[in-house]
Amino acid sequence: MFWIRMAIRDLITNRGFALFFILNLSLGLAGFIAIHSFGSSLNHHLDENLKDILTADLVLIANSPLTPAELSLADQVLGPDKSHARLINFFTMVRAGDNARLIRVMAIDEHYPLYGAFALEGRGENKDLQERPGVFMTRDTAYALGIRNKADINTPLVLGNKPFFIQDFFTIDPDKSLTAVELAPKVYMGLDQLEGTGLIQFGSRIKYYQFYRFSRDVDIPGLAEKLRQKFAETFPGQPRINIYDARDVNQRLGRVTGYFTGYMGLVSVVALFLAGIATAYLFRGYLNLKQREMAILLSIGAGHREIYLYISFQLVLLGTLAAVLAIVISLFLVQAFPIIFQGLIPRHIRLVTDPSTLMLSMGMGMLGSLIFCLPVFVRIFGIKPLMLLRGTQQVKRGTFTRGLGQAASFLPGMAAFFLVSVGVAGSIRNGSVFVAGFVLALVFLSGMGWLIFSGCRPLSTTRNLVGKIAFRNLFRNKWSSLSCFVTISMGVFLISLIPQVQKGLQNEIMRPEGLKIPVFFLVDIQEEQRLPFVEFMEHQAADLVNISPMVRGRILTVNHQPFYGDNTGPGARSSVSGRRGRGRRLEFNFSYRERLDVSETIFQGSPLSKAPWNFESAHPFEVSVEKSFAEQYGLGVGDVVGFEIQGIPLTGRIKNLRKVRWNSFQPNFFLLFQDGVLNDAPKTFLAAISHVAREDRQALKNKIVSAFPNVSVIDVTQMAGTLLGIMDKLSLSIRFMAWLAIAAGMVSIFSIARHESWKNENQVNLLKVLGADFKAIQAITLLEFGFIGLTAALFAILLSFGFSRVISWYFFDSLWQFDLKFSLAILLLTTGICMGTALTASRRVMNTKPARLLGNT
Amino acid sequence: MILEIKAICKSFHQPRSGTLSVLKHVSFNLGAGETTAVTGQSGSGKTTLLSLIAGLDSPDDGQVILDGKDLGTMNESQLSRYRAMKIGIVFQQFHLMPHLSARENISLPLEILKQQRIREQTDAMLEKVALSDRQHHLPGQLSGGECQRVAIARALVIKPALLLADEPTGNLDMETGEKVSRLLFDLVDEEKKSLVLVTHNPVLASQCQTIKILDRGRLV
Repeated sequence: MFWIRMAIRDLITNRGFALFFILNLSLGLAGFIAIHSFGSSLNHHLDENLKDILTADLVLIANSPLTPAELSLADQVLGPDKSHARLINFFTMVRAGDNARLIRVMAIDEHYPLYGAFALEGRGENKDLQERPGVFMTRDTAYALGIRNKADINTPLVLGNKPFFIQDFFTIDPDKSLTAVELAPKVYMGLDQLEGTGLIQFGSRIKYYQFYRFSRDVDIPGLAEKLRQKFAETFPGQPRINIYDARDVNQRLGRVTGYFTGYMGLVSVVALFLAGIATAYLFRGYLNLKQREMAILLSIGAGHREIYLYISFQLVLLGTLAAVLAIVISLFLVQAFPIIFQGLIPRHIRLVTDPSTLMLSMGMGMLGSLIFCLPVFVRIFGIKPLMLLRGTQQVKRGTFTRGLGQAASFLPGMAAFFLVSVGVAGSIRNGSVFVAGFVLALVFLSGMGWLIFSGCRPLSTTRNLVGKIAFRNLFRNKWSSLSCFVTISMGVFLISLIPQVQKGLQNEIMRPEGLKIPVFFLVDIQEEQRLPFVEFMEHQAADLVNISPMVRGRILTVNHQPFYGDNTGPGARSSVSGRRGRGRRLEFNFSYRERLDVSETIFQGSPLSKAPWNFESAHPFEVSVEKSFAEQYGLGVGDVVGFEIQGIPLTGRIKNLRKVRWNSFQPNFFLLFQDGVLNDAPKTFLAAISHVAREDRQALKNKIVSAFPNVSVIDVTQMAGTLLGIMDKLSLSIRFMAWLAIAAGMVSIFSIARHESWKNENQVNLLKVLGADFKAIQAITLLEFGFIGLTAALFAILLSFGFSRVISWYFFDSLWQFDLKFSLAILLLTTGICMGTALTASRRVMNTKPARLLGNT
Repeated sequence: MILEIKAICKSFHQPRSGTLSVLKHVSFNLGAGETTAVTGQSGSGKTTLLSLIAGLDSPDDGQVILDGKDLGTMNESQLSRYRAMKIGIVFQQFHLMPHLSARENISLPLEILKQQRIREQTDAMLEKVALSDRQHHLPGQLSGGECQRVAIARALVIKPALLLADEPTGNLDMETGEKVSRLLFDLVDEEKKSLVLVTHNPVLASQCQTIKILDRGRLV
């Protein structure tokens, strides 16, 4: 109790240090806790609402209708006591009066949904949809179609060749899958009413869903796995049905936010690290202040153990208070996440700070403060009461052991940094790359610092007194200058790195340079419609571009190993065999084109031959594969790939890997074939339309829908607007996290500069006593710290250029842009903070009377 | 015998000037209740001798036996405990805890040693050093003489067998120094304590029963 009392009292006496320590650490912890809290709230919500999100316990999805044999097998495997529902889902155009727009048709049977329900404004019921051609939609969708008041309510909505009427408006959609990034709003209709619309044609992208709900307790994942096996046994060859249970929904939703929270998480680790540096420096200053008091305690009977406990208790107490404050700050921060992720995550998510988050925060606060301060903490070993006796020789013993101990004291911090980075990045590879880059930066900056301060020797020979003393200090106190330089430069490096990467990424997403975004994107142009469509467009005030054939097919083998099979042979590609799991893609779109679009560049390999491939040829045809697709499926140049197109097996060899800028919104494909392979295959066409005046857009859309009712017209401008809205929110959060890291970094720089300038207290005293005037002392301080700040910031910014370039290349496909304004601001701010802080700290000494400076306590 | 110093040697390695022998085979004894002053020129090894007696450092050779126990046989923790119970130290620069009041500074060793009747012992000691009326003042609010009286009280409150004083009046003016030294010797006499006093001041040294002069590491 005595020691606890002493420790608390000591902190109250040094409340400036205590408050700064708590504020600083809590700033670093807050972002980290907010992200963890949000992640765990999201997982919690998904776990609780998975069935509602899926609207069933289990679902079968196929690109063509499920056959009676398949349904019978499912019925047999899934057993009795279950109900089922059907849904057919596709995109098409709807026309209401003069308005036409793309919608997503949700054709449902009378049992849909098996979990959850529609919240309808009127008295509409599902069975109404089955009996008559009615639809459910939201008021927003109706408004977009020009149905804005009661008088318009009876306006027929033409879907294909059949008119429909609004049956009711829904406010809650039972299908709670992601909505904001969807191409079009949902319109529900009865399954039986699809007949007569003429919307289901060859090549239409339609999905058939069969939902199941069990009324007894069953092992759903186990049943899903059993069903997959039975399907594989009964229908050998390539699977054509995807079987999902609630876990897959969880994974899918988790992936959407995973990348983003991963990036924000790494930024928060940077903020935490910077706060850690500042914390260690603050503690170092405090410990220096306490050194004599510890020696006094040791001289009157306290042991080193008691001193460690005394200081540890203080650190743990400060860490706990910092964690509590961080939790409070994070409670406010976390409220912003649902706004940021609106549309990307389920609505009405309940944000809870669960016990695991609280435990983590407290643990990080308590352990974090101990770990960050450990390198300083071990110095207590060196405190001896001998220092209290005047004129005593300093004993230098066990220097190697102490050095080793000092070096070892950094290990827990590095290990914690590594573990947290890996945890946040979500993979050992990414976490290791992050930490390796960090260590590399540390080594580079240390080397640079050493060279700079060695170079101060000739500068110290100047006749100018200020320059002479300042540069001599920097050169002679090389280790001290170096530690200050490295810490500040690491802080600036991290601060500068984040916005460099962020800016490139943001600019690329929002404004793809050198690309012309079309106005409309057209899907499902039938082969026989191609020429009439081209002719039709010739009479419009718009340009039809990039009309591209599309053929659907499957990949059967890669290098003669089954693409979906249990691929465990010696030549097996793990990433291909890994795709056998749930949620795999079963069909792909293939195309061919004379020349690459401007949004495409060859990344590896050579262009495809211009000469058409001959079906009689013994050689495989040439294939071009999109880079990220190749990475996802483990494909490389030279690989031999077996395809099945319209039932015909074909073999191709990968000739090149392509990079595609998908945000060009042009018709692009993962796989392009050599000319001659797909020319005679039944196909549909995609196309883009550019150069349409804003006022003519709706009219053109209406004309297309009237002339070609099955063709879907995607309004790219509108979709880009939605995406930009989401990007705005995401970039706002990225900027917010970046500024949190920057704030932590600036506190860190302030703490370091203050500590280093306090170390110069004796020199300032001496100069004052010797008669140096205020201006000279001020100039020496400014020059010394200004030089450290400027060089540290300069090299850190230069290093961050290189690193951000590498990061952009590694993680974000080479999207990088130099942010000159920000770099200059950081350079000036760092130099200014160093000079200002040093001046403030020195002023305290300079304003003290010499008598007091020379006296003893 | 309360203190036996047996042929102790101490040297320091200095990177540029080689090894510096500070103490060379120094021996002497001190009985219970005896007082001795150690004097000598600057650099003669007085403070080093004091640090070895206090167990703050260890000799290269020889023994320091305090109340029958060889300090060289103890580890750091045992030494710290033994020092706390057997030795009181008064420093030239007082070395008080700045954020503790005079009273709290005096009771600090008793708290560390987890002793009983802390309040009564502290009150008694405050009275002895005539600081009862200043007991709640922080060191920064006390004069140099008062600070040294607190330091003496703190050293004696644990009733040590041996009191070590390192230039106890070195930081005080003559008049205050005389008052503090009178108090120190009165208390040593009253409590029947042994005292080793390191000083340059011949007047102060003369108040001890014996004087030992160190010259370049040897007793003369």
